[in-house]
Amino acid sequence: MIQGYYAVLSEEGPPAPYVRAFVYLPEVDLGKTIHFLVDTGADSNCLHPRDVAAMGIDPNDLHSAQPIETAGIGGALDYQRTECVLLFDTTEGLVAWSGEIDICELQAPSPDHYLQLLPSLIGRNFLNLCHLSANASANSLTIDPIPHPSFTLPNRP
Amino acid sequence: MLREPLDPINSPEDRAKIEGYLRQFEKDSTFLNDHRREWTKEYPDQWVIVFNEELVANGPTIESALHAAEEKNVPTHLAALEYLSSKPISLILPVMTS
Repeated sequence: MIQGYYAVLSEEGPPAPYVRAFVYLPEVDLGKTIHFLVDTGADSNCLHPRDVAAMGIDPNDLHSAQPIETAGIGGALDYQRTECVLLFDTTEGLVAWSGEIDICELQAPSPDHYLQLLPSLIGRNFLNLCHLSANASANSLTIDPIPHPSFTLPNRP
Repeated sequence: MLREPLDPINSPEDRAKIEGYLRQFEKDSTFLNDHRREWTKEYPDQWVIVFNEELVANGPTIESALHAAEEKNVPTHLAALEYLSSKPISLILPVMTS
């Protein structure tokens, strides 16, 4: 079972659900530890500019990625959809999920400071393969993968 | 950019390495959160980077903070990175449509 947690973006903001993961992009051999916002409103996982910059991704290197347009509150952004492995540390060992993630194409330096504040997202292409249990008042968030070939679970005795 | 070929599904060595990365990241994130209030007064409206439970870099832009950390050979892809806003920030995230 994957354990998430609640955290705030600023001192006075309401807590939001997050989970720590290591994302690995096989096409460019780049990985990063990331705080993902658990976002049931997002169709898919996304890496946003703050993590793209820290990871050193050049979207031009993602040759097999598919361009994705998104629309929502605040306007549209362009992404490149590519293969990834997400890895989560659990008490039973490392849980791996093989799937896709959208890489925001916005290049640093960004003209919009607020876009850099956007956390990267865990979306429904992952969450729909899990039992999700959230209780903000108890600071409890559990994400339990259902049996699915995209998961590699720790070896159990 | 630090390219690091990994086989996170099949290689026990690579999986152990990633477990180590995640455990250090949890410690660094906890360290950052424990100091958030203090550092927000000291470095208001700046990005801070924590690695090995130490504040290793700060800057008014994400690029300047990352550059300062890279100058110290900090692996920024493994560090905890946060913006310390002096004002409340409310985010409404876009709904993704593909």
